[in-house]
Parts: sequence; structure tokens; C-alpha cells
Amino acid sequence: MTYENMDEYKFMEGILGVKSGTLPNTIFCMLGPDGTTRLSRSGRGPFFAYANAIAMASGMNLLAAKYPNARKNALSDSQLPLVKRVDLALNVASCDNRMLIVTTAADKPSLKAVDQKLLSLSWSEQFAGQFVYGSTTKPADLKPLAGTEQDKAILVVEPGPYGVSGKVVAQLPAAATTEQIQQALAAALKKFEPLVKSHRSHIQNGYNLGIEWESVVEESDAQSVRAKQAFRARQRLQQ
Amino acid sequence: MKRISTIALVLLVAAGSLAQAEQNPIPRIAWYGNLTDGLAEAKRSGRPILLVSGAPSCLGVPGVW
Repeated sequence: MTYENMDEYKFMEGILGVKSGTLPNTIFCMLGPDGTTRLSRSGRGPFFAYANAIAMASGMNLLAAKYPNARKNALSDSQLPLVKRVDLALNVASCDNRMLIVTTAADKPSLKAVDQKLLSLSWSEQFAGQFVYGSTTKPADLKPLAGTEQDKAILVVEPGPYGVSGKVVAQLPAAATTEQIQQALAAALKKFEPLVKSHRSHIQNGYNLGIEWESVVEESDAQSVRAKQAFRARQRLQQ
Repeated sequence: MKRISTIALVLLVAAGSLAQAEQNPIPRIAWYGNLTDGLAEAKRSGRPILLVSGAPSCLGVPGVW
């Protein structure tokens, strides 16, 4: 996630080969499994490496063919695809228009056991890619999630439009069986209706409501910083 | 204005095997939301990496890329 972790920021700078402290807000590159071998040009998006979506799909198929394990090991990951902070996971779920699953427990070993219980379901054909995942041992992290009951370990959350709050639509105890979890996730997905967002009015209303996101690393995309200043100046004039 | 496509990191998997949920017709990419875990999984599984990073806000407002 751009601007949410300094180590990631430095890594992305290396991938793009930009001057220190000037990382743009989007980054793209195809890399080998070692995480260092470049398999494509890097840039702000896939269009730096591929002419269009068909060319990208074709290029990805060619790359996958060079790595036999790519197909063999698909959907058999050893960990949940966690976003490292619950507040960030909630925001990402809102940005992606996906539901959020938050696992919670009083201590790390118990949390690991809950995450382990979700693992095979999270990488199943039915659910892979359908949820964003967050995990925490801190009750304070659950405050933005309305409806959280005590002693529940798996929370299925519908993110709010700005990703700063969410509504718990299903919750299960740590003792829930895989079948119970599977049924709860399937039911939640069936009911979930992704929001339709208009970019411009979303931003305008966000400013009006005083909702702003503060990244961990200060934004260094000059184009975006200028656009933000111009947008706010126009808004002040209209008020 | 910045243009942000999508988040973090995804490992290449077989075409057609991604995220077709029975209860939800929208296919989704199974992204890794942090670099450390994504790189570790790529090494473990031998899968190449599609690295895409974006900021989860637009002009400072969250809820959109």
C-alpha cells in the first residue's frame, strides 16, 4: 500500500528507480518469485508495460508458463492475505468495494488459531479474492465496527462508503466449525451489494463531512499534491 | 488528479482459477495487502509477482483509490 509503510515505500522507490522522497502514488511491475528479478518494465501502472488488457493477460500467461509452480501452487497459500492494520483494512475494503473479515482474539496464539481456521476457506475457489482481511488482539481496533459482540472471533463487516466505519453483518465464535464459517461467509456475500461511487462527489462530500485520510508516510506524488491543493482552493471559493 | 488503479500485491495463479465465488458473480483478484507477506508467499510457492501499489485515498479522502 503506497504511503502506509516506510519499508514498502523504499522498496517501491527501488522498483521505479525514482529519486528518494518522490514516490508517486501508484506503482506497477512484474517480478520473479525472488522479489527482485524484474519481468517487465516498471511504471505507474500496467500501461507502462502492456499496450492493453489483452496484451497483459497474454504476457501474464507467458510468464506463468515459465514458472511451473505458478499454476501448481495456485490457491494453496500458507497464510491469510492480511492487511496489517484493521483501520487500513477497512479503508481498503471500502476502496475495493469488498466485504471485510476481521479476526480477533485476546492473545496472539489464539488469534493465529482463528486465522488458521479461515485459511483453507480464504483460498477456496468460492471465496478467494472476495474479502479483505484484518486481524487484531486490540479491542480498540474494533470500535469503528458497529454491532461487534464480545467473545466473537470472526467478524464479517460491510465497509461504510468512506472506510472509516463499518457494520458487522455476521460474527462467529472461535469454536465455530469450518462448515458454519463457510455458510456465514456465503450468506454475507449473497446479501452484499457493492456501492456505486462517483469519484468527484465522493471527494466533495468527504471534504464537507470532514473525512480525511492521513497516510503513515507523507504523500510525495507532486501531481496529486498539486491536485489536492487546487481542489481545496476551488472548494473554498465555492463556499 | 491522481489516478489510482488498485492495491498491493498479487501472486500469479492459473488463469481462470481466481475468485469466482458461487454466491457472488463478480470475479475478484486475491491481493496481498502487504509487501512482506506477499514476497514471502512468492518465495515459498515459486509464483511470480504482479506488483501493484496504490494509496487508499484520493485527494486525501478515503474510500476510493
